[in-house]
Amino acid sequence: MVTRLSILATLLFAFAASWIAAAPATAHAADIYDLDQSHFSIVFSVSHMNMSYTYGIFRQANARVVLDRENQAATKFQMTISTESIDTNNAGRDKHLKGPDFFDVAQFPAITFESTTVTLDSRTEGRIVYQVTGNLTMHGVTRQVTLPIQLLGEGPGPGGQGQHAGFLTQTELKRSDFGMTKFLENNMVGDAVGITVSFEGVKQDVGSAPPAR
Amino acid sequence: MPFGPMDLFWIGAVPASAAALLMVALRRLRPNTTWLLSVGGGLILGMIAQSVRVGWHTSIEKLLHPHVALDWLPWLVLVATGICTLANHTRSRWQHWLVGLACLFVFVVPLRLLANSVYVATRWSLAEKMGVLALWTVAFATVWRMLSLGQRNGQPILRGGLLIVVAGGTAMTIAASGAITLGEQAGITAATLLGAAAVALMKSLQLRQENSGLDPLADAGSTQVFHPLDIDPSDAAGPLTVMLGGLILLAHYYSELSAANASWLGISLVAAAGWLPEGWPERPVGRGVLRTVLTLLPLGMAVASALAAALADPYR
Repeated sequence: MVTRLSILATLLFAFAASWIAAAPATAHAADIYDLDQSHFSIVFSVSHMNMSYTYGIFRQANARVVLDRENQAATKFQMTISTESIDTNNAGRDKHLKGPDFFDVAQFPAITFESTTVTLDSRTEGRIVYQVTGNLTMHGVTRQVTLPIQLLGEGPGPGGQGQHAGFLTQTELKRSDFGMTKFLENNMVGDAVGITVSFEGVKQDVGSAPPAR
Repeated sequence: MPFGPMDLFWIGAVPASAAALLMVALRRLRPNTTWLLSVGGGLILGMIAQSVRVGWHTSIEKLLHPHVALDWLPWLVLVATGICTLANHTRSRWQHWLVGLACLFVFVVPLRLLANSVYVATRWSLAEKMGVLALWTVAFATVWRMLSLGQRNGQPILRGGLLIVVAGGTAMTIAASGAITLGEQAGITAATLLGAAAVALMKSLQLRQENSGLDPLADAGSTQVFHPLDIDPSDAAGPLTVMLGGLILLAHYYSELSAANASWLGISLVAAAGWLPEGWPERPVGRGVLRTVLTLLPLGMAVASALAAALADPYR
C-alpha cells in the first residue's frame, strides 16, 4: 500500500514538475505593434497602355503586428486600408478609381489583409524575413496570398520615445483575380499591379492595446 | 476615354443582334410579348456579353455569384420581364395581384442595388435609409406606370425612337460622370431597342407590302391595320424601367452622377415614351413636337452638364 502511494506521489510530482518547467516557455508575452500613422507608405503601380507606369498611394490605413519571437506560429500581421484614401496625383483619375469601374468604394470601403500562417524564412541570410500567408480581401473578393515581409529594423522611435519596428513587403497581384477587370479588354490598364508596403509599428503596452481595426 | 471598334461590337452589335434575332425567333407569340421578350432578352444577353469580353469564366461568375450591385441588374431585369409577361397573359381578375407583385418588386429593386453600400452599412440613419428607399420606390413605380400608360398616346415609332435617344444620352451622361461600365450598360439598352425596333419596322413594312398586293384598297386604307405591328415601347415598360432606372441609381450612389442630372434623365425617360396629358396640342404633329421637346430638353441639359464637367477635367 505504501509502495503504491509512493509511486502515485512520484508520478504526480513528476507531472507537476514538468508542467511548471514548461510554463515559462508558453507564458511569454508577444510584442504588439500598431501602425505609426506618420511612417507608412502603401504604394502601387500599374501599366498604362504598355507605355508607362502610373503610381498611386493609399493615405489611410490601420495595421497591427503581433510579433512572437519565440513562437513564430503565433506571429500575426493585420492591415486595413481605406480605399477612399486612394491618391494618384490626379483628382479626376482618383474619382474614377473610386467608382464602379475599379475599387467601387461605396461598396468596398476597405482592403484588408489578415495573416493565417507565419513562418520565418531561413533562406535569407542576415535578414529577418517572414513568409506570411493570409487572406487578402479587395473589391469584395478574398484570396489567399503569401507575402514576404521583412523586419527592417527595431529600436526607439524619434526622441527615444516608444519602441518601433519597421517592415517592408513587395509583391505583385492581378487585379482581375479580385474582380477588377475594367480596361483589361483593350489593355488600357494592365492586369498586374505592383505593390510596396512599408510601415513602422509602435509597440503597445500588453493588456492595454485595443484591436487595430 | 477609349472606345474602339471592339467596344462597338460588344456593346452595340451583340445586344442589337440578340434583340433582333429574338424578335424573329419569337414572332409567333403575341406581338406585345414578342417585343417584351426581345427587349428583356436583349438587355440580359447584352449585359452578359459585356463581361464576356474579359472571359467566359468572369461572365458566368458575375452572373451566378453577383457580388457588386451591378451584377444584380440582369436578374432584376429578368424578374421585371417575367412580371410583364405574366401581365400580358393573365386574366384581368388576376391583374391586381400582378400590380401588387410589381409594387413589391419596385421596392426590392433599390433595396437590392443599395443593400451592400456603405450608405446603408454606416453612413445613413434609419430615417435616411427609409426615406431614400421610399423615394426610389416611388420613382421606379411612377416611371414604370407612366411608361405603361404611354401606349394610350399612340405614336409608337416616335416614342420608340425617343427612347433610343434617351438611352444613348443616358449612356453618355453616366459615362461622363465617371462610370464607364454603367454607361456601357445604358448603351446596351439603346442598341437592344434599336435592334428590336429595326426588325419590328421591317416586319411592318413587309406586312404592308404583302397586304397592298392582296388588297388594292390597302394603300389608301387605314394604316391602323398594320400600325405598327401592334407593338408599342410601353410593352417593355418593366425591363426598361429597371434597366435605365437602376443604372441612374447606381451611377448616382456609386459614381459621380449628380442628383440634378439623375432627375433630368428620369424626366426625359418618362417624356420620351411615357404618358402625357392628351388634348393639347390637338394635332398629332403638335403632340409629337411637344414630346420631342420635353424629352430632348432635359436630356440635353444632363448630357451637356456631364460632358462639360468631364471635358474640364484634365484626366480623360
